[in-house]
Amino acid sequence: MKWLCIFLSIIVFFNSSWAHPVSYKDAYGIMPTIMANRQELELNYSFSNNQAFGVSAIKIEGKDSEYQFLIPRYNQRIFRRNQLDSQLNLYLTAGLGVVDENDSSNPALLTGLQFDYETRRIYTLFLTEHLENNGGRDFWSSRYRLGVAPYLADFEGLHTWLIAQADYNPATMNGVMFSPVVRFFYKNYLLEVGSSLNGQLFMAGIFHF
Amino acid sequence: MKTLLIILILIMPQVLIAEEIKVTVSGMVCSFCAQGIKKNLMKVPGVKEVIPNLADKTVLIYTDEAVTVTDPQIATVINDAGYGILETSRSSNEKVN
Repeated sequence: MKWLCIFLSIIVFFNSSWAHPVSYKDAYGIMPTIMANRQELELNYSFSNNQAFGVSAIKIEGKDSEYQFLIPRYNQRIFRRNQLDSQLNLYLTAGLGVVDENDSSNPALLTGLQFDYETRRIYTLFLTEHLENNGGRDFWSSRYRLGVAPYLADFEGLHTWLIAQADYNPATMNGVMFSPVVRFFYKNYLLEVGSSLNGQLFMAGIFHF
Repeated sequence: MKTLLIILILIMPQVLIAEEIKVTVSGMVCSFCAQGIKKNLMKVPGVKEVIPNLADKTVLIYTDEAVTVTDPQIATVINDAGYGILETSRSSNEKVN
């Protein structure tokens, strides 16, 4: 319990966007995300351009209780299509870890799927993830995004994206939550900032090295 | 005679060849993509500089005079980064010292 508290306290402000489940070979990724009722941090290492190992710390404030997951995970890119002007990816993820709820720990299972497609001008993403604890409580979360780059930057420039995001997390929210998000890319750093239509903060980041 | 040969070798012009390799890459649509490609190409022995260009989807690779960087080496690195190669061209810059 203590180690989970320490780990979660470091990332208490964050929750994972799952945006880059796998990167290039030998790359490390740090991906925190904050959103209403859910914070997550994923750390991963891509040991090939299709496979990564990582760990996710996830804090979910459910309607009835608070859940803290710590889950080692495996991410697999199962399909990729590179074209001159575009890139399309399909990923699966799975993990087995623990969840703390009301001072009791139980095994937890993570499964998920992500699809994304991007050009230099347009970006779209769909992801769905399922977290389940041994007590039978489960959490579905799904996200859809559509983004557009208002200008095209060069390699060393600041890249900006305007993104419309829809989240559906029935265990923590009522209905679908829509959030306009602004994404900034600079070199190895990515920062996303947004707010739901009812004023709930969304922040995410990615750092690769 | 031996001394004369040594003197001749020392004063003969040394021709060193550096290369500019231009690679057209598929899937390189963002700066993260290009960062990964650049980082891994810079680890290849003999590569001096790597300049990605997102607009025309190319990577310019500048090599050291004394080392040959082969197409298969470049292909391995770019494929390991998750991208494809559509075209490779080379141009040499001869330096006479």
